[in-house]
Amino acid sequence: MPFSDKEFAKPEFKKVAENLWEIPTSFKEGMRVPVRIYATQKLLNQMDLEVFDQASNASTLPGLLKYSYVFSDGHSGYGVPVGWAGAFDLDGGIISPGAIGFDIGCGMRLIKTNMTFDEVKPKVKELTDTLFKMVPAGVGATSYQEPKEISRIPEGTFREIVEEGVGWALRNGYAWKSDVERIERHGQSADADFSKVSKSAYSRGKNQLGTLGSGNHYLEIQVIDKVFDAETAKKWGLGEIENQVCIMVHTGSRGFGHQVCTDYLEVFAKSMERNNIKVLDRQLAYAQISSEEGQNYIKAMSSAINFSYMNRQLITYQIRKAFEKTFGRSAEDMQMEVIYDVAHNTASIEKHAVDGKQRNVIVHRKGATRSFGPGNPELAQIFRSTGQPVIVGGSMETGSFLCVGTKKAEEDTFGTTLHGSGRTMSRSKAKKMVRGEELQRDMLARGIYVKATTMSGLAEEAGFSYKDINEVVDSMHSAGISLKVLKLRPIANVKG
Amino acid sequence: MLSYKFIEGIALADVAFEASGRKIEDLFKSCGEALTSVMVNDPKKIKPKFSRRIRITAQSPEYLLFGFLNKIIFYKDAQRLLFGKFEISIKGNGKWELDCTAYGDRISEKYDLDTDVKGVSMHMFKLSNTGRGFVATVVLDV
Repeated sequence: MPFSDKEFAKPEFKKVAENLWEIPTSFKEGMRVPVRIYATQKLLNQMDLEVFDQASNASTLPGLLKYSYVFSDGHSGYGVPVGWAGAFDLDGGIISPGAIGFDIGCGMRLIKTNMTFDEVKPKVKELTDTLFKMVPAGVGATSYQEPKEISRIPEGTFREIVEEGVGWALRNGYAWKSDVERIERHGQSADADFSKVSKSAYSRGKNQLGTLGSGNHYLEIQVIDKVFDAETAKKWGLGEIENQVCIMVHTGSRGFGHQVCTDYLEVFAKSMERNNIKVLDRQLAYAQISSEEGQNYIKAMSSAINFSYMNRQLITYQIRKAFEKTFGRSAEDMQMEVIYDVAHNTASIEKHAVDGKQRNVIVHRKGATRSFGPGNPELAQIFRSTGQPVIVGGSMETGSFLCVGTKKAEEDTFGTTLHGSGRTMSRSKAKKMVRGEELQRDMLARGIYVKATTMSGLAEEAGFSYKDINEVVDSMHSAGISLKVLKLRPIANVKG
Repeated sequence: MLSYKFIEGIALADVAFEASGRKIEDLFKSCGEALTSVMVNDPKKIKPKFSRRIRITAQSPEYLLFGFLNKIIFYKDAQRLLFGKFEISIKGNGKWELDCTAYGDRISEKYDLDTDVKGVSMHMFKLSNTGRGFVATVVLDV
């Protein structure tokens, strides 16, 4: 059947609590656990039916523990919805590349400055134009020509980068010591092994460090608009300056990670066919974690996660340079420190309580952010008293949020929450509704200067294509899964 | 004649298309052009300054198509090439073989570039022989 004719069944939702819904296992044959959806009634009604089809497909995967989770930003993806998480027992469980995504390690970084909106505004155009030049974006974007050693990386150096992660950047002068503890996992996924990565992946990624990509990836200059939790913000180094300027980056592992996913998706799919193992969606092809294929994928995936941390680190290096060039001050003087960096397309081995017992599990997060609470030993010391930052990127028109993780998230959702606004409309439909040039002019009139590599790409990212960021964040806040700390509004944006 | 259409309402953050061809080679050309048209707005304007030979073998025509489309994406990143024309021959007799010469040019601002493609998903990925021709459905991650 062509998928233009495909229809998806609408489930009967069971209301579990305020803004928490469940699809029972009776919805689809083979479901092992229910689907749990965090959403207001309005957001639930907005979700396309394919979300529930995909979440229920995921719940048929062997060894999925407790629930197949969909968060308030959930929308249809390929395989699992975007805004989805699921945990599998490490002992006897499975790993699925499709439930992590092509852009392995895609995530968010927030960088602070000690500058105010009034200080930045007169030069925001010059700054953004400089950033547009120094942080390449768009189709096939390759590294900026400086520094030369990262514009075309030899294989030996590339191996060091993807195995060490941000430690390489620190050793070679591209990171500050303080950056490292502000990155999830201290900027290194320890299981990385370059020997499990294909030559094709290296070829695709070697020229792409320090680049944004395209689609919904961006670099945004923002101003803190509202502080909800001043105490937590202060502990993280934010919110004490009126209209403080920050920079948010959304990007991932570029062609390197995309190829790792492609390679292992094919390996797993073919292996399952040979062994006559069926799955409802081939994008959910999986392998036993303990199998050779499973272990190889973990090592290759970890390499891609490290690439993504390094990509955002090199972009941070370029951002600091761009600010120095524009304002004639050092990045240290402008206190351009990393607040946090967290991935939202990952699989991570963690300890969680299941039926009252601590178990080692592998948590798959696809467009979903880790949300660990106060006291979690996985967190760097600076975050132990508060819980970890959760960076939630909104559309380029509406603003973003910085939230904090909670103990409740650890108890209820394997320490996971939303990652962004979530789309409500396809890209092709958005392009029909607005022209990029018109949108760009309109945003400038509203005080947001946008540099984009393509106008059609810009139109696809129009704010009306996304859910209400306030509602999706409030939904997770009211559930106690991630709590609002502050809101940021955009003043300039670089898009691929 | 090459034929494809983009489908709305499937995988909202990504791009989905259906392509067809009377012969299987025509289908592959349609899919190649559909994929390229996501990345550049008029693939026919891409000058044939460079060529690359793409040779793939697979156990099924579906995996052959999967490999072919992934090769186009590979060249986009590894060599900054986009292709506007494909000369393809396909043999299938137990094992399937594709031999393609792809013609194109380096990515540059002179082309009306659009959205970067990350990969070809297996979600709803299907190639069918309808008896009157071939049809494929593809979802791309962008």
